[in-house]
Amino acid sequence: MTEPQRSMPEIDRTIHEPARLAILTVLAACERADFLFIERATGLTRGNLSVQLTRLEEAGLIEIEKTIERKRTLTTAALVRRGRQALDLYWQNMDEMRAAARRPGNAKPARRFPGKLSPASS
Amino acid sequence: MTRTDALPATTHRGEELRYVTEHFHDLQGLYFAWFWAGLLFLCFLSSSTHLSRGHVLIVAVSIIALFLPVGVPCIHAWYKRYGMVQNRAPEISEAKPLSILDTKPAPRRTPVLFWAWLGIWAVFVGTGLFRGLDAHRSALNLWITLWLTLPRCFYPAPANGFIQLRRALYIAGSAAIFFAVLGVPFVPLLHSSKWLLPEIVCTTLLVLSLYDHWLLNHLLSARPEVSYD
Repeated sequence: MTEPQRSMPEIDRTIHEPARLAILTVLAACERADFLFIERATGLTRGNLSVQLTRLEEAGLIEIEKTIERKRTLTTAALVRRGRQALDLYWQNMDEMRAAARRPGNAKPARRFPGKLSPASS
Repeated sequence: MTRTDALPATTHRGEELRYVTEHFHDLQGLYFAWFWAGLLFLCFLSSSTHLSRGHVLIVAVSIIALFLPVGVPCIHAWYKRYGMVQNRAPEISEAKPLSILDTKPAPRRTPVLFWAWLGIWAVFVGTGLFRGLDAHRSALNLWITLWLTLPRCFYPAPANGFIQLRRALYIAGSAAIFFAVLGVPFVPLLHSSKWLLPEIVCTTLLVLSLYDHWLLNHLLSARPEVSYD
């Protein structure tokens, strides 16, 4: 492993998945949002959104609340403190990764690792 | 495309998501549009007919009586199709671009401020205008309207043409109101033209409110699943 690759910060895979990142971005901008708004804003299908929300809840990043409102179930989600901290750390790491990619000498990596982030190619 | 190539696209989309979430309540322009449309109608009614103050007041009360039980629930039902976001007022941050890197929660929205503003507006502008005697002083009270438009000129906006256009419209609208009100003491208003200024202000605010409504609809309209990869 080359030196720049060894110094790469860890990226949280749970957050890095684009659909989940979109959900977390919405929740980071408000206190609580319901399923319908997240669906509308992110453009995800109901099935996909449901799966992603469950994954985020299992990871302890969000809390999901179901309440009955006028005989209908209202599902709302909110980012918990741990989720906010994790998102902060994620963006911090991404920034570091971006900075590392811009450093001279990192322009072209000698070898690429499939599935790993390759900042040098940006 | 590598994942870091996708990062700027994700960031751009993320900024839009953050904007529409933060401004969800702010963009519900129909709530304001009825108010400006009603006021504009009353201005036209007063300027084009010779209705007495009493009749104008009856029309105003009828509009409000019709709107509150019918209009508000309809508008509420319309915006409910976009879901629900719990309140948080967008921050006006000095020279700070809108960023998805910012995960700090914004302060709570205070509806008291809005109702206080509407009360002040109704007392100073409404009564002043429909008293129909002191057009100059009433027109000067339209300064209060800038309280609504000015903050929206400074909110950070993502690189989306329609959102940038919203800011441009608010800047133009604020400038129009500012110069219209500024010109009042220097232009002697005739009895027939004293309604012109409130008509300009109400039309400007009506256009801005309708644009807000359209923008929310545009940003949250149903579309095929977005690919984030």
